[in-house]
Amino acid sequence: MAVRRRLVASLLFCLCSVGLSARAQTDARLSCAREPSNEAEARALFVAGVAATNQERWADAIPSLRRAYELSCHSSALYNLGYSLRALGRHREARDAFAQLLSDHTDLPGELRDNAVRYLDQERARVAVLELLDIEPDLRPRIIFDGREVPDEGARPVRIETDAGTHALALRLDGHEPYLWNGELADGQNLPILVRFVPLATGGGDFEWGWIVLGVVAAAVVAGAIGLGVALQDAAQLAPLSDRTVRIGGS
Amino acid sequence: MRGRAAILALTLTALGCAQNAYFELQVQLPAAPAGQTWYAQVQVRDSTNPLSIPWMGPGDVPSIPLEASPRWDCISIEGTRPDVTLHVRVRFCRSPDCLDLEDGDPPQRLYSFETPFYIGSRTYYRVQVPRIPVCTTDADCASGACIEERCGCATSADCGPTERCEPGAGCVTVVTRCQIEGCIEGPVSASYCSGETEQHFCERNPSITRDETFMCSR
Repeated sequence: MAVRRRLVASLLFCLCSVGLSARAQTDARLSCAREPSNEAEARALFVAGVAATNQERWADAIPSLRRAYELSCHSSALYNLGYSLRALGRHREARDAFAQLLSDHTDLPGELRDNAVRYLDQERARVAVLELLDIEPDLRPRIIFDGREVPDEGARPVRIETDAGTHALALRLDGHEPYLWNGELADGQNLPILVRFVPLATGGGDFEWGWIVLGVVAAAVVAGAIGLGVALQDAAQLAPLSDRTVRIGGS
Repeated sequence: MRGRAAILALTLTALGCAQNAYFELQVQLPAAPAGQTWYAQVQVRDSTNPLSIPWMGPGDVPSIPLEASPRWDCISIEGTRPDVTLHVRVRFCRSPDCLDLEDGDPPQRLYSFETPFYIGSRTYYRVQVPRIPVCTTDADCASGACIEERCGCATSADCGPTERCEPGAGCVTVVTRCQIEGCIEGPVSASYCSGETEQHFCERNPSITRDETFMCSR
C-alpha cells in the first residue's frame, strides 16, 4: 500500500501542469521556483528520489526529493519528501512538509490529500517539545540545542520542537554559569524544564569566605600529613608528551 | 574515608607505582581549502557517551586552525582505568568554539579506541584525516557516503571494513586493542598483541616506551 501511494505521487509529477509560481519562503518552509531550464534536472532528481524510497533508502531519497521540489514546486516531490522524513522518524520536518503540502497545493487529488491530512495529524502528535520555563522575558540567553543555535524570539516559555531521541541543551547567559541538560525524549513527549541561571561566583560574601578558609585549612592538614608521599607519588606518575591534554574517567 | 585514601596513597608511593596511563593520540589534520578558515577540534569521551549526539562540557581540547598544508595535532589522553574504551570526535568548524551559525552541523570524523589505557604504560595511535568531510558526491568522502553535503552513512554498507555506521553521525573507525601501539621495541608492527596469547604487549612489558613515533615536537 505504501509503495502504491508513492507510485501515485510519481505519476502526478508527470501529469501535473499547473505549478506554483516562483516564491521565496523562510523558516521551516521549503522555497521553490519553477524554471523551464531546470525541468530535466528536477525530473531526474525526482526519479532518483522515488527509486530510493521504493528501496527504503530514505536518507538517500531526502536530498533528491528536496532539491526536486525546490526546482519544480511539484506537490508529488513534497509528498514523497514528507513520506521519507516520516519513515526516518524526522517527525518535525515531516509535519512541516505535509503542512506545506496541504497549504500550498490546494489542487491535491483526493487520495493524496486524505493521506497527507492523516500523516500530518500523526506527525503533529509525534513531535517532541522541550519547554524552557522561568526564563525572564527580558533575558536573551544563547540557546544551543544539539549543537545548533536556537533563535530566541522572546516568546515565553521557550519551546524547542524536536524528534524522539537523546538530546543536549546548553543555555549561556553573560555572568552566569551555563545551564546544561542532557536527556531522552519520547515520541510526542512535552517535557518542561525549569531553567535556573546561577550567577558566577564573585569571591565576595562571608559564607563563601568561610568555606574557602575552611578548605585551605583542611588542605593544609591533609597536605602536611601526606606531603612527602604525594611528591614521591607524583614523580612515579607518567607525564604527557603533549601540552594538549585530556583526562578521562576517574576512580 | 580521607584517612584510608591517605594510607592508600602512601602505600602506593612506597611501592613506587604509577597509577595512570597515557594514550598519545596523533591526528594528521587536512590542509584548509584555499581562502577558507577552518578549525579542528578534538573531543574525547569514554564510550558511555554515544557518538550519535553532540557533546558538551569537559573533554574538549582547544581547537586549532587548519593551515595551508596538513599538520599534526597531538593530544595526550590520561586514563586511570584499563577497561575504558574511548570515543573520539574530530570536528571541523568555521569558528574556534564551533558555535558559529555555520557550524550547526559540523563535518566530523569519528573513532572508537578499544581499551587504550594500560596503567604505567604509554600507548600511541595515529589517524589521518585527508580532507574535511564535506562533499557533493560520494567520491569526495574518504569515509562514508555523501548525505546532505556531509560524509555520513545510512547503513554499514556505506562504511569501510574497519568501520561501523552510527546513523545520523557517520562512519566510526573502530580501532581494536591490538592495533594500539605500545610496549614493544623495534619497528612499527601490524599488531601489538602476542600472536600466541593475544595479550597486548603492554600487559607483558609495561615499561617499554617508543617515543620516537611521536609526531609533535615537545
